Amino acid sequence: MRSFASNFRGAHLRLNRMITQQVRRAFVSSHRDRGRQKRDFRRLWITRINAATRIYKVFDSYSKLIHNLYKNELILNRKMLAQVAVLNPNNLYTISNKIKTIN
Amino acid sequence: MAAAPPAFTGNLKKALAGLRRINLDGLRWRVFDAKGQVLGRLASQIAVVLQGKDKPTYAPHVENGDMCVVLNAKDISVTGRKMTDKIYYWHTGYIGHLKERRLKDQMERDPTEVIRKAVLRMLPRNRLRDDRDRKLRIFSGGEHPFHDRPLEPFVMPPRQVREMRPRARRALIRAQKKEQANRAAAESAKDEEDGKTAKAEIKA
Repeated sequence: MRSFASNFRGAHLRLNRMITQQVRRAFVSSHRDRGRQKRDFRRLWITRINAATRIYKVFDSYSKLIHNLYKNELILNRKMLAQVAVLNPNNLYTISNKIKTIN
Repeated sequence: MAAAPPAFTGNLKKALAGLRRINLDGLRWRVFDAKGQVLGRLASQIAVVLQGKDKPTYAPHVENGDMCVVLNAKDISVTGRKMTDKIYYWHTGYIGHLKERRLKDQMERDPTEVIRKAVLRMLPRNRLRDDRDRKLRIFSGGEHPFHDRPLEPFVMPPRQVREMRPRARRALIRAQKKEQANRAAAESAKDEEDGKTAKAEIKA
């Protein structure tokens, strides 16, 4: 446990009592935040997709984009593919065109 | 229009304050024209741009918003009776010292503060708020000293104006009719006068 606490600050890495407390807290935060991480990242992706749809595409908002995606059963577009929006904006265009042609 | 940049009155120092602290000039300079815009609706758009939420590279821990220049702050409009009835309250910390000031008075003192308050109160209260405030430049007139930067005018999204409530609409129609009647009366009065002077000339 001392090795786990080896990069803590001050007395938190030297004194046994403090080490036990702080390591416990660290584990608790880590456990809680693993759940939060999923929420936070989804939030971030949604914000990014929202921004990208407003700039590039004719769908005026994230909500309309998602609605159209679901209507056309393009479920493979997880929110993770906000990466698409950042790196390859052109692919966003192709997706949206596909949606419109299917529509 | 690009009126001569040297004609910028007002404190240049205040306008350029802290520009050096804002790093990364990969930022755009967006120009908002506040003339005739409604206060809150404009402020929310500014807040979105200032946070950088219109960019697909948004990250909440990084300050990446564009520079916002707001012009014609004194021509901002508010609906309803807010011009006289909207009151800004603040407490100075001393007991019993709750101060207040109406929108009208604030506009006389410093019209830029109205927009600044509105925008700042729409930004999230975190450590990036001060940096975002530094990126916001508001001018009460149409002049600004930033003509040498690549400026981009911001087009406000179209606004759905709610249709008037029946009583308000009737009042408006009545007012319009009254104005028409007045104008007609004025014209007829003028015609009569012209007629009289013409007759006077003929007689004389």
